[in-house]
Amino acid sequence: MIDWSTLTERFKGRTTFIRKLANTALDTHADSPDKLRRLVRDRDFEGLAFVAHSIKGLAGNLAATSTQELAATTEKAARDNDDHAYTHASLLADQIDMILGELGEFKRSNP
Amino acid sequence: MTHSDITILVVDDDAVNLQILEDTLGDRYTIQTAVDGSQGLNYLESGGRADLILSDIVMPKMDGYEFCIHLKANPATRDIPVLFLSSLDSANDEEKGLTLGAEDFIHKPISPPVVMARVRNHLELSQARTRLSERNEELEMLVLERTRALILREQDVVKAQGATITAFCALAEARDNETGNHIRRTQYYVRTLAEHLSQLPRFRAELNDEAITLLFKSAPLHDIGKVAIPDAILNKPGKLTPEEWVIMRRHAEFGRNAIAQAEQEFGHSGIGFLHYAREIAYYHHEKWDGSGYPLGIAGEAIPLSARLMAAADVYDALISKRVYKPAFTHVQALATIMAGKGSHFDPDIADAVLACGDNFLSIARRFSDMQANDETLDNKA
Repeated sequence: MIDWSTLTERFKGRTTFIRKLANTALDTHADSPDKLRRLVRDRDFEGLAFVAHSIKGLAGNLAATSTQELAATTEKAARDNDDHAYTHASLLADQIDMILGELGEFKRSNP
Repeated sequence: MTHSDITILVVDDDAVNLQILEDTLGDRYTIQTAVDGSQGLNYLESGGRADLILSDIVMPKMDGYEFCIHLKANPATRDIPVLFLSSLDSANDEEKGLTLGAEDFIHKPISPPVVMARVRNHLELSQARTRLSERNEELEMLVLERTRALILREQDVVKAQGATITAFCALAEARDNETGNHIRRTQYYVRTLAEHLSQLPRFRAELNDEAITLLFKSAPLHDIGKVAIPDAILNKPGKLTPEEWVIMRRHAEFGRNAIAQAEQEFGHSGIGFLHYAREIAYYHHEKWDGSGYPLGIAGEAIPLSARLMAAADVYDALISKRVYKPAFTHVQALATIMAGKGSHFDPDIADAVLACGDNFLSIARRFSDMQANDETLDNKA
């Protein structure tokens, strides 16, 4: 999900800083997938739009382009009160899980 | 101001964004962070410093738009550049941010070089604006100081003008049997005529308030040239011979020369006042029909200042007692002036003397030479 070469180039190969970013992302977004799934269950467009917007920013910062685009689609559908937002949000929750997994793997590889 | 003295307030609810921005800007600037608009406002209201603000838009509690509205409404914070940093994509979002007064809109994801360049540019712009504002204040102060100095100088010039007149008049009075009251009376007659005539279209442009003030100041110097006339002629207790008249008439030229010399000494600052004084001294014996002296010029070739003085001087000579003639009554004097209308005097000025007759009489009484003369005026007015 994460384009590691783009991310590394963006921060000029500073692995230590990317590790710090990974730590922060893991700390602050660990519950994002569950939050998205709960909002889908609750049919909460407003909440979905807010969380999708936040994930769009995170994904952009981590060079996870496809996730960034999915988050943008989810956010727009939620703001339009479009039921497709629920489908997109479920997919987005899965992708965040994968991103968090990749970040955890990066931490383990770069202790 | 060095870079480390510059404080940037970063307002964002996402810890990853804050971390990237601190990493991007922290080496050059002091970074303060807040997680939403209300926390940012609290920081500033409690005295926190910010030379530039980078703010997210979508945040809990207070969003970036509302935060910006508060900042721009407060005189203490409205000049701080605000740069929105957001992943909102639509042109409307950007337009709204700029309309609220934000200086710029940077799109996420964060590109460190772009953020650094925009921050640097806006800081330079802000500092230039501050320097310009300070320079403007300095210039305004300078203008104020210069204006004060000019006013003081102008006041000095006015004082110098007064001193010049006093000195000249004292000299003239010491030489002449005519009293200083003749000088006062003619001065007031001239002003009365000038004020009256300033209402007529023919004279309105020339007789403005400043000109009337200068005429009033200049009038006392009309006979200053008499100081150069020998005592035997000046104070002769009887009519002058034709030869003596030739010498007496030269007082106009002597007066003109003396004032012209003073005018040169004064330079530009005394031009207005001495210009009128010179005109009056030289031309006040000219007559409307060209039969006067020293040049024998006629009509409007005679300066207005001198035409006014001619009427004032003659009126005063008529109502004054001389060793060679009794004092005329006010009515006789007016009749004589009217008889000279169009020959001796500018017709409009002769009419003005008649129209201002009551004022002339009041002036004559106020600055009367002697009780007897006063009675003559009263009894025969």
